[in-house]
Amino acid sequence: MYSDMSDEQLIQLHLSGDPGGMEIIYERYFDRVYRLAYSKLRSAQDAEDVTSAIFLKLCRSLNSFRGEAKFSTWIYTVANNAVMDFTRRRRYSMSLDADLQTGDGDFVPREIEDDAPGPEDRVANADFARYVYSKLDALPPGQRSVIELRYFMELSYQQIADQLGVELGTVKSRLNRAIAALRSLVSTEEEVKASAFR
Amino acid sequence: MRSDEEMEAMETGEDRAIVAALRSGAAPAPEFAARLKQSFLAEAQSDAHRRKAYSLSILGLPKFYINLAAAGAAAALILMAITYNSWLKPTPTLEIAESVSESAAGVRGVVLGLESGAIGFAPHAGDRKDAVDAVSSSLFTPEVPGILEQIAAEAGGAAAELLSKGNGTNEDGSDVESIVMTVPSDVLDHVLDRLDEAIGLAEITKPVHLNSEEVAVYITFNPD
Repeated sequence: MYSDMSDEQLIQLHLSGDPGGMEIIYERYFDRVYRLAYSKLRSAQDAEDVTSAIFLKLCRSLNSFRGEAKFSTWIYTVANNAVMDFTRRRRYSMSLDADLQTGDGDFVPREIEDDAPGPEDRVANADFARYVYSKLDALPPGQRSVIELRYFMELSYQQIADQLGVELGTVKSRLNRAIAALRSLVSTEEEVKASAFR
Repeated sequence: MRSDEEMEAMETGEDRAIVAALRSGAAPAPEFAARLKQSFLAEAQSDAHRRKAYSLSILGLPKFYINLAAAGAAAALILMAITYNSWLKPTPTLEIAESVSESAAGVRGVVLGLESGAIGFAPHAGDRKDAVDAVSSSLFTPEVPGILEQIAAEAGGAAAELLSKGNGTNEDGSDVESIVMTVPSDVLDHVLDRLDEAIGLAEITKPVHLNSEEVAVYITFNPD
């Protein structure tokens, strides 16, 4: 019953007191939100923290969902804001740590995951994927947004065009250029690993 | 018409490896997904109950009816504000006092009757004045009214005869039984002294406290 409904119908049901459809919402969006968070933070732990925060606050945040936009674009905005907030707070926390470091205390810096594949990653595909993700920061914002909306949030071309307020053709060309840019950024060595995907 | 996937495959061509990496590269840990799902569904359940409870009033009535009642109350207030001058204007205090006084006097008149004779009331004045009953030790003579009128006038009041049949006659066969004097309360004792000197008072019955500005003195004459 719930699985046949649109996101907006499920949200309306929830707002009227029937939470039955929220499991479908979770199934539809959990992976997308996690991938988006991971692509920006490139830390599984950080991505889990942000994804948890987003979903645990999602129901209460629904008051701001007016139904004028698609739920998928709304949650994309919510997730982006959550990631930015997380990054800002972490940056502030690190600056406080740096201040403490000026003393004689035995400070241990926070461990930040390296962009390069770590030894714990046993699967070549996963290594390559992480490597590709690490190159996303090099893309211009417009191209990166198209990548996020298309491959992480799984929006259609038309939905992306609506979300970004551009023409459908612009979306296609931006996506084409973004993929080409990523390809050029990936090293020849990694392309050898990429052959496993083909 | 081609689907997005077909168009994308055509456009990205040999970069399917990158697309695949973007789509499936960051897989969340299954145990994290399961744990978060449980927490999320519990939160959703709680939030839905809260929303449902909010949509109902504390009386168990749908919110619609509460809103309707609120709108009705607001409309009534507006109507009252508009018609304030015509039916909500406060009546002046003096008018209320007079109205109540007249009303109360009317009730006492019905209950006691104009000639009830109850001690402390003046029936001929609508029971609105304190009354004093005095019994004269002398007979009623033609000169008496003139004397009493003079005493009343000196005290700032007036005197009048009260006629009543069957209660005795006087020397000339008239039916005069008593006379009532209306005098200011603060000169009552002086008036009573003057009456005692002039016509002799065998008995005086008066209230302990005088509450009215004027007092009615009923003077009864001994028919014998």
